[in-house]
Amino acid sequence: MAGLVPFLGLHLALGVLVGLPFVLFVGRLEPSAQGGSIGFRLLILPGAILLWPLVLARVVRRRQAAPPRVAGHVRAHRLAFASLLFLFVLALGHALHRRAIHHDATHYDATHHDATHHDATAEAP
Amino acid sequence: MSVRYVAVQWTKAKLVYDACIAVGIVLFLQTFTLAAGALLHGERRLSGPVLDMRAYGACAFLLVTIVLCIGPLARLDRRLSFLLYNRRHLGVATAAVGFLHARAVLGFYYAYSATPPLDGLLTVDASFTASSLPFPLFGAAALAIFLMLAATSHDFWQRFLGPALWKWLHLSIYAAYALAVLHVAYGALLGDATPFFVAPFVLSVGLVVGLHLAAARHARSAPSPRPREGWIDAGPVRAIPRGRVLPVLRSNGERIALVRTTRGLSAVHGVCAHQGGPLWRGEVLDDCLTCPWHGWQYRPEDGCAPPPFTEKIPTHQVRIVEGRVEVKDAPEPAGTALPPCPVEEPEVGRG
Repeated sequence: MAGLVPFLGLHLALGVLVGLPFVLFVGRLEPSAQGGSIGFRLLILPGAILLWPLVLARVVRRRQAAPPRVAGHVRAHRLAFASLLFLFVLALGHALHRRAIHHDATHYDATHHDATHHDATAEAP
Repeated sequence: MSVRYVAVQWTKAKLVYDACIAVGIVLFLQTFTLAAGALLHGERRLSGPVLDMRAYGACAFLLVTIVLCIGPLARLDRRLSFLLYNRRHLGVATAAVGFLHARAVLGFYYAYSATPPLDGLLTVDASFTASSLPFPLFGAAALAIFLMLAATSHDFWQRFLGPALWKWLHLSIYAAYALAVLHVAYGALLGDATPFFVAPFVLSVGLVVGLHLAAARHARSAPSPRPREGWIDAGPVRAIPRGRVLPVLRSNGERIALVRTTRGLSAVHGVCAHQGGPLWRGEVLDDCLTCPWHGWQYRPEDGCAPPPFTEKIPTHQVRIVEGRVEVKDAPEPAGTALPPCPVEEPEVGRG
């Protein structure tokens, strides 16, 4: 996992290299962005830095966007929530079970500690 | 709708919406802090920085829960569609509060550590064992997705990436939500959380899942006319009053918006070019089909937004056969002008 840190740094550095010229010249790439305000350019900069591979891919291969469709997304929503239902039942059940074990152990430790402490007090001269 | 991009197209409605979000966040943080002070005593009492991180974390989780509930609520009851209007600002607020939570956590636990916070996060707490799961990593991954979604929430990204890719990208909010649930379940839930925290958390997860399943069931029960020889029966003409918009289901599962204006019957693609809003649930204003989500408008006869706007959506041919309206299943290219199908009004007041 530690290897991820330099990878993230490299990704962001390349993102800045791609993102800065992109927001400066975005009007040439996307007609709808011509004359965009400075606030608009600053607002899209983080997205350009984070998603620079996608930005480069779109710049290299511009194509006419197809009309938006939702049937696939509706199916994806259903699939996502059926999966999430399964995941949540499993994860919450496991977490609550572990929580109960943890609390029982804490309760046992506290009781045991009190009893030992009480015995020791009783045996003290 | 815009002819020149600006950072945020402020309107009175957006200002009111954002003011409500800001006031809601402040009120929640104050209430959480007061409630934690009143409910947690002795060993369970939380120190100031821990209380801050818990308050920010709970607030971010509440915000994403609201964001995810708005969609199905609007599908179940169209009177709640107004909540969709500025949902993206609620999403940006979620990312901002989540960031404050992460900053409070890393600032507290790594304040005097020689290890940089990000290194520590990815190494110290990153073990997968039978007894523990790396809940900080789940939270970090969820926050990364929320920040990416916030960074690409401007209309420009939808246009530049294309509506389909943008929508798929933003469906990753479900992955972020799943990671956030795991983060809380294996973090705060296993720690010193009181039942006052556990019960609302489990109920909120049940609410989000339940609402989505109910909305999916509701959508499935909608009327679905079947195409015959390339034409879809949309019902009798008299069932479509002037000024109304009706949904017509295509063979591929997409919806068409069948519109009756003063000029007759027209049909256009049922999905708005802006953010995929349901035009088939829209209304007719000034003889234009108006999206219920953000008010984008299209002329029903050619699918074009009125000037100076340039958005276009596909159109569908409409005909009337023996008193029944039929809509062609296959669309015409976006912006294709089709004359409205005239409707003969029944003559009244005679005899």
